[in-house]
Amino acid sequence: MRDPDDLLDPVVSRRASAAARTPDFAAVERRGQRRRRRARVSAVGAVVAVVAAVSVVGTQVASDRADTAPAGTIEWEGPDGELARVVESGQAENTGVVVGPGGSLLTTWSHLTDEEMDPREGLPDVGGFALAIDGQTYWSPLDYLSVEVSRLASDAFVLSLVEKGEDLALPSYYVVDVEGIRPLELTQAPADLANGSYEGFVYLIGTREDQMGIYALDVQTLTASLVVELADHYVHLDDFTHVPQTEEGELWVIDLGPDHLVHMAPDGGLSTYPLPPESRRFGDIGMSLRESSMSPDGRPIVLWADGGSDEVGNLVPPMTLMLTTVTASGTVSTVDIGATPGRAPASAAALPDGRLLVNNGGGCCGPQTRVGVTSTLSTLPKECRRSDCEPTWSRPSIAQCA
Amino acid sequence: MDMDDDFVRQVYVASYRRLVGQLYGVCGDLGEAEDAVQEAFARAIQHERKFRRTDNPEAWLRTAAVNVSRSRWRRRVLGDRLQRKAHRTDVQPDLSPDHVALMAALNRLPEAQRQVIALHHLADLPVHEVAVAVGAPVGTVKARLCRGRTTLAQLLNDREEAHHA
Repeated sequence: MRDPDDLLDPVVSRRASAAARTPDFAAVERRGQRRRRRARVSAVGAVVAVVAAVSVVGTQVASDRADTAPAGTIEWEGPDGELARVVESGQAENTGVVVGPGGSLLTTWSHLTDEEMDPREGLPDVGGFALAIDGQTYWSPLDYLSVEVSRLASDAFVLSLVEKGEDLALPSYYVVDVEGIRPLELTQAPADLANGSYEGFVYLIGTREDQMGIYALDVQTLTASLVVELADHYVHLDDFTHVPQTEEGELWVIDLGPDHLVHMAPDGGLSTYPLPPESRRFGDIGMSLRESSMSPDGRPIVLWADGGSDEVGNLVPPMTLMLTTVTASGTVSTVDIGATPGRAPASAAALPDGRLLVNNGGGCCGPQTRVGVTSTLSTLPKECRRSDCEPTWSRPSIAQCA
Repeated sequence: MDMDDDFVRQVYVASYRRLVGQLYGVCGDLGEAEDAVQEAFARAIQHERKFRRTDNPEAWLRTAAVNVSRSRWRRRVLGDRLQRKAHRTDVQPDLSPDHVALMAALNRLPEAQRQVIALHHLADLPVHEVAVAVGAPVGTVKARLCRGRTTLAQLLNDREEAHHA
């Protein structure tokens, strides 16, 4: 038998190092800043929302549904739980706030320690999440290396959790609402959109490559079924990005192959609309896209940025922010909503009612403080909510920063 | 630019290529190793306060990159997207035929065994640093190394026999 020692040679790593392509740090920096923004500006009034979540600590509850809960259900912890304690003591960093349509609030937390990373812990972050709903707060165990959240059109959330532990684990999916943290099963059967009863849609990547796609969720049976109508579309979504959707079963997604908007009706019928050529200036709209949402009357709102590029072809500030929608008559309409004034790239978050909270990158309190950004609430004008109305875009109002 | 980003930039200049080399054996693909390390730096920027407090930023990044690479399916999805965006070519290191065979065999190992073999034998990290990177006790790492080397020897042997057959 051949001895691996003959071949296990550090020269392999050295040659890989030599062959590595080193991208400009600015590209990596933007990626990190995007993560940071997505975590911190993930919903309107994030700071207020967190305060609200913490302020109801006095009415925290622990799950008492263990007797009837499905197998694999994770029990909520009460105010004496580890996560509640580290949040209250200021040893946790808020990493995300997601607001549900009915006002429920899902906050994610990362535990901060002053100690060097413990080899037994192995990974730099451990966290958990809390659900604030109807004046009560439910705390998860402080037990997760990764927590990702997507909200449904109904007042429930879908979470991807990677548990802390020695064994290498793939994420597990859960439906989280007042009923508990219940395991979600990905079924083989395609979603029956015409006859089924689903509470919403979520983009999942499953545990096999062929499971990746948009799923319809049945919260009653805790099952997720693949929406095969969209299976042939190259959907531009990061895992767990919110899918713009309505409770009636409509959704909008962006298909990158080639770039166009796809509308799916409640019965699964698809319509496609081309995106403006300028949105593809940097390869595909994925490079320009800031956020997408859906107005209450069912039209898409796509915020993207146009502007110059750096030496490696990446979009750089100052940028011009553009909003694209599809009118009731099926015309793609795009409007310029203004230039970003600062060096920081723009970002946005979709609110539960479909409006976008836009950070235009023009911090009025200085770049060090990272607070007080000038924000814009963008939405379709009220006069255009009628189904036969063509949009007459008006410049959104500017909400002055703190 | 603030000081935190400047600190991350300095670590990037000093450690990026070395980390990609170390992750290459773990991922089995240079592009995936590059992406895992870039994502680790993105997380460092995201958690800059914590990152600045670490005594060993490179170990922090290595652990984060191993964590990123853990879910192969996710890595593939992200890699596909990045490849699509960057239109990059599939560059791989200049390895001898024997080392190409080694990498092929390594890719067939269970992930836990592949990680420790790659980090200890290819990246030349001591066992306790491997333990930090993969989030396992030292004893577990040693056991995985032992099992991994045995399996690797069998895989290499099978390949050689098939080649001669």
